[in-house]
Amino acid sequence: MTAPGQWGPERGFEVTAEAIGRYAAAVGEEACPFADGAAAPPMFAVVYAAEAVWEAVVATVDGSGPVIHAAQELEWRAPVRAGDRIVTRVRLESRSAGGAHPTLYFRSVSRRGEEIVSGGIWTILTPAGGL
Amino acid sequence: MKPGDRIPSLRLLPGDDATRRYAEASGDHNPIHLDPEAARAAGLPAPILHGLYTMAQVARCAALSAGELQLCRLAVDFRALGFPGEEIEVSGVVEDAAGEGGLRLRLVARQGQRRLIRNACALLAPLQPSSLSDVSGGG
Repeated sequence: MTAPGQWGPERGFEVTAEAIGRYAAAVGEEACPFADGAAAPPMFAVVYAAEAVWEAVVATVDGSGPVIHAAQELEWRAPVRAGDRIVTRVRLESRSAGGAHPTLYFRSVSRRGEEIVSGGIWTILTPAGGL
Repeated sequence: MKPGDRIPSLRLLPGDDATRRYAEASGDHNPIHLDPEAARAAGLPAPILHGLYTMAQVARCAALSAGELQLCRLAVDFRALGFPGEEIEVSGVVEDAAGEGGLRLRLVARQGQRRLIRNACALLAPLQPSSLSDVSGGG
């Protein structure tokens, strides 16, 4: 998946109370409504989207050298709860060739059925000559 | 809250096991976050915090001011490396009203003098179930 605009395959994630609770504890959300694992904190979006995103990154840089996660945008449209099955697709949105670190912009969209739950832009820097 | 108001700040001390716990919870097992040898091999003095862990702290701080609103959007730039064992402080101000009772916040996450995340922008508003938007368009 190296051409901008081409969507990668769907990757699914089964949301469990255990996964939410583990994430909530890891980021310090113990004292909030997310602690029992019923509802996911917003940033749990990076967990259910991770497989699709990093698969796209690796495919695009052909595994050549380290990458740097330089910026992140996320947008939420609906809450996610235990029992949901979230499906994420990712595409390379664009790339910039300038400077020492060519930059890749990936767009993710995560859905529950036909409903969009979240989306994001993942900005990845790559070493010069690494592409 | 009105433009210019400071929001409640968030302080936390990520423990020595913070990166291991985050790796297990998130699935990001990049060794530069976990293995001192791997970190040194990458030119780092020690294992570093996951950037998305630090972003999660910015999200938590924004949520402290949300009231009945929801975190609808968050954009951050990762600017410096974070390390376990050093306190993180997230602070912010109300930038402007964002329509329909929403608020736009500007936040920063620091460890000492280092700004781990700067110029973060959070939108607090009612969630808007829909199809696609500027950020989540397509698919």
